[in-house]
Amino acid sequence: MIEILPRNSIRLLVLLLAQILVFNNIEIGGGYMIPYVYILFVILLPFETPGWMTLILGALLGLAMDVFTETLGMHMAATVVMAYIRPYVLANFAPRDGYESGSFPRVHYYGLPWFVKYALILILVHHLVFFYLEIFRIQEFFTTLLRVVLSTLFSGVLIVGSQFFVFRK
Amino acid sequence: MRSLLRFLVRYHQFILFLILEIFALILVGQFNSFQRAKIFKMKHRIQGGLEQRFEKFTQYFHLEQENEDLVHENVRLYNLLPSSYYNPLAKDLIDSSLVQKYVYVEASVISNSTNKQFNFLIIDKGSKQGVAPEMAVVCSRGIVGVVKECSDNYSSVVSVLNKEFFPNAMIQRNGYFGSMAWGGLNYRKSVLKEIPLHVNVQEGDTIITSGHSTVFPKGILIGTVASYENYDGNYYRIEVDLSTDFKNLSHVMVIKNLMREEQIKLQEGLQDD
Repeated sequence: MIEILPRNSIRLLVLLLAQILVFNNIEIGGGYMIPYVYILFVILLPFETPGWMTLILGALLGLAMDVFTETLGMHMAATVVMAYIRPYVLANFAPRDGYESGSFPRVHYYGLPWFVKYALILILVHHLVFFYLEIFRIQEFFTTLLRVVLSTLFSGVLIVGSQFFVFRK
Repeated sequence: MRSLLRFLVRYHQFILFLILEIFALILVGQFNSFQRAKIFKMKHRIQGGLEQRFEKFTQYFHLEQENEDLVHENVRLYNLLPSSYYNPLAKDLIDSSLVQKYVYVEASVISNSTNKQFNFLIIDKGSKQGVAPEMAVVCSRGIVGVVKECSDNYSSVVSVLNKEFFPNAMIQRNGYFGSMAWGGLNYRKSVLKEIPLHVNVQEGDTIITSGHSTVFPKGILIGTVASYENYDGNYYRIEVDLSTDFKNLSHVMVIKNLMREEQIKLQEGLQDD
């Protein structure tokens, strides 16, 4: 648990910087596809992380994003919901004999289909909360829904892709 | 007491979730301008330096385009110089009758977004350089936005790509005016409403600021008509190609209206009646 701490802090910093300096400037499909990859931090937290710690780390992560994008509370609300459902999603997708100790929620350990299912659900929940909170009106319900779905796919491709190119092990 | 403790322990995760979520939602809802200004200042201490350095680096990529724009702008300004006019009276005009109304301050964009519903820019000039809220921001290619808040050396600018910003616009060819509203999706397009159906609109028509508000001078380029349709039987819904490319914006100008106070006073007088 001790050596996990520095590794996760570095990952947190790298992801925040990448999101703020690079991914916040990317937008394709006429404003329908906007990637939020910083949530990879919550996705990659070790299995043993207690629920309360996931919640607090998620809240801090969201708050940090909020301060840098001047959307106070929006990213935080989204990451907190995402952190809350993570243990349930993990329990639901657990292999028959549970997760091995010393393994991490990665493609490397549990394979591509498992990771895609697990990550997409968390990304979708985060994007649902975030995009509806951002627009905060019901009139453009279906436009926003389309944005949520397309952005989830875009973030999903980037996040799953990162498993092959950046966070290989 | 013990059962309460047991309850807390059993549901600690859910309770923590509720507390954090409610806190976040309160932040979203209660985020007033005072807090915004405070956070804004705090953020700039952290981010100003970082993004400025990054911006300096990315500016190199836009140098070619930027130079081209500056050349165009120079040519236009040279054409306005008194020396490029021929005076048939061979006498200098006495222009004490002319009073300066607008002052321009140049600024660099240090952070910008196009992917949110309510986009803002941060520029590197603030109240120490004479920038104040409600001043217009333009670039050599057209309209950018309006100053919202200022710290000593930085200002936040409500971008045209903001769903709560409705600049007054007019069709240059015939002078009919309406207000612009951004749709929230495409950063190259915006929508002009309130133009009645009897008006002759054509694709390619130039849209400029009307000068009816106290913020923008008349005649700043907004864009050109991309398409138009009958919206609700009374008005057109005109899609406008924005002339400003918000993706590679780096140099802007802040326009200070020296007669703004006077105009506002007069307008307030009208409302009091």
